[in-house]
Amino acid sequence: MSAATPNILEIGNLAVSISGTPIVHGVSFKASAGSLSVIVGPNGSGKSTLLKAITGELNYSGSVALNGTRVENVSPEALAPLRAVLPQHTSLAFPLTVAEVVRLGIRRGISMADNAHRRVSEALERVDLTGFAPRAYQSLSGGEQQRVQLARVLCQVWEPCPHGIPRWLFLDEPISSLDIKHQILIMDVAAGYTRQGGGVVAVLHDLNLTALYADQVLVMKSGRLLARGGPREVITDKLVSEAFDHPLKVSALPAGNVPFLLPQASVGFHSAG
Amino acid sequence: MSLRDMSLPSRLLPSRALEQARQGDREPLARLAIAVLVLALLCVMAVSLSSGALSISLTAGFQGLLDGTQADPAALRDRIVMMDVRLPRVVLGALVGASLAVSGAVMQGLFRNPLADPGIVGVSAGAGLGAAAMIVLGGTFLAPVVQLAGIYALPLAAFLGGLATTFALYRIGTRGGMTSVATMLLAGIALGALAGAITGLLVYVADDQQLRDLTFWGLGSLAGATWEKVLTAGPIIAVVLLGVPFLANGLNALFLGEAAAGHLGIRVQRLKTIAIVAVAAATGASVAVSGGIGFVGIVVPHLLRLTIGPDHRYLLPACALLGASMLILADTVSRIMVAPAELPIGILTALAGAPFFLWILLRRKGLVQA
Repeated sequence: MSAATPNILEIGNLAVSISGTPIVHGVSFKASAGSLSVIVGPNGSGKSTLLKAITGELNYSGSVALNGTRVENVSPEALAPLRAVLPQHTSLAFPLTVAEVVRLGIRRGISMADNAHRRVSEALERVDLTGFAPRAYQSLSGGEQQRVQLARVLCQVWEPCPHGIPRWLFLDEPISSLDIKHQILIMDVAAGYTRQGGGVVAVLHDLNLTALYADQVLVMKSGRLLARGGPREVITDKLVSEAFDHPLKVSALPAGNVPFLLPQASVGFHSAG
Repeated sequence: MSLRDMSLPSRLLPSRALEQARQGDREPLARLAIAVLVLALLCVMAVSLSSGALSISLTAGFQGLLDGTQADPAALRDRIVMMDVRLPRVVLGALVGASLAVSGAVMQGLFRNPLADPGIVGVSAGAGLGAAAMIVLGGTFLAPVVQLAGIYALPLAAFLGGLATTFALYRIGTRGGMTSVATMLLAGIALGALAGAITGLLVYVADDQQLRDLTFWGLGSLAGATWEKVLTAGPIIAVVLLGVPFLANGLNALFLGEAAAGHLGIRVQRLKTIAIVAVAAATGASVAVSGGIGFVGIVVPHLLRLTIGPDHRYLLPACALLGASMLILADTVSRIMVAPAELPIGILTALAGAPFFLWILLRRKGLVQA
């Protein structure tokens, strides 16, 4: 880890406009490899837009540097083995099997040789889809499709930190369609990736899972970074209520002092007390 | 769609390829299919060479080739029919069939939709307009082009017409990286109608000889295939056929959409540009020598996707082989059905292809929802 190639993602004064409307205004932050950064915020606060700009899907002003190099100076071919992106939603153009979808993540040119086969099965096992390889992708449920896509993305950057160079996962709402068991499973996969030296940046809606798993929380509001820091510093009554324009009460689990929120209806049954 | 639907009956296949297809890996099946298609193409070529108004056995025909000095008039006649009539026709049929099927597959991969076909979305009509303009105006207005390009003037004009149409189609149908299928199909109809109308204007001003040329050419036929036509269209089609396999990985990544393909390391913009030019070139060259032969570009890729899956590394060569076989077969049928006269092959492919197209629509109703 030399000073010349810091193992971080560095976003400098990033701004995005879509057809003339500014969506993200001058956001700056750093995320280090080996940590899980989670972007939270209300609908329309610019979370996904920010992630899409960072991954080069949208034009932006400002700078995005990965492992010390500006991404616009890196060719797509060189960037692909360094970072993988899980989109919010993926629709397939043609009927593929699950194995064929996952295989798209394995570097181009490699065919279904034995090791590619093994990699596909390992990836499917990791997202709890063992035995799904021959299934038609389009016949799966939304949550299963989301996990197939994650398996594909994992294949693209399988080793989190080969030769000391960290790889990065960018996940846009990776658990939005999942049941609670698989939400935890996928967050475990993401956390495991960072523990082995990789970097993960995810957009999430679930503040409790964010509190449980994030090393760094970035709170977006109206296209600006409202706050950033560890879950205990950021997930507080004041900040969360301000971010979501709604009075929210944060409690803390006794063990480990992890903050959590219990949503309460603003009208109705709780008024009896 | 279950995998069972995607594979051939088991007794036709070595069990290992089928077993792996059951595991979700259709690559061995695809390789096997390509081997079968190579054999099929050779058989179809042999049948086509030996059948027709004049029956010539293959061995006799090629024997005539080897000792061409003999003076036996029957052998000489057989040799001329074989070498100057049937062989160029079979070669041209193979080139055009392969080109139509591969153009269809590439375009469908590019637009991410199995209904995109140069014939349906107006690209062939655009190429036809280019060719008609060259036929009618080649003696006057476009004479310098003819002087410069020689026998390549016609395919060049068809290519430019096809290119302009494909490009317009892509610009109209795609906004923000998303292709709207409804917009694309409707734009294709409009562009095709526009090209047809301008072609009509050209027909209106054409003289008798040009009219004859236009009608003959527009029916879609391999009749009148000559070595000159093979030399005209052949190099263009060959370059495209040899080049498109390099697009296979990029087209595969496009299964996931343009953004995801970019994240997989594909230069999407460059891929799209090359694919559009390749489709326009192959369609233009085919239209220039054989007129409008429809539905090969939609039927062949669709049948193959059902069998070996959509992986372009196998789909594209398989399309070339099956497209070539199907067109030669259709041409042979069109020659012997009403022999010694013959049906324009475009009529035959449309007769078989149009119901097939409707069948696809019925089977997968969700396809045309924008």
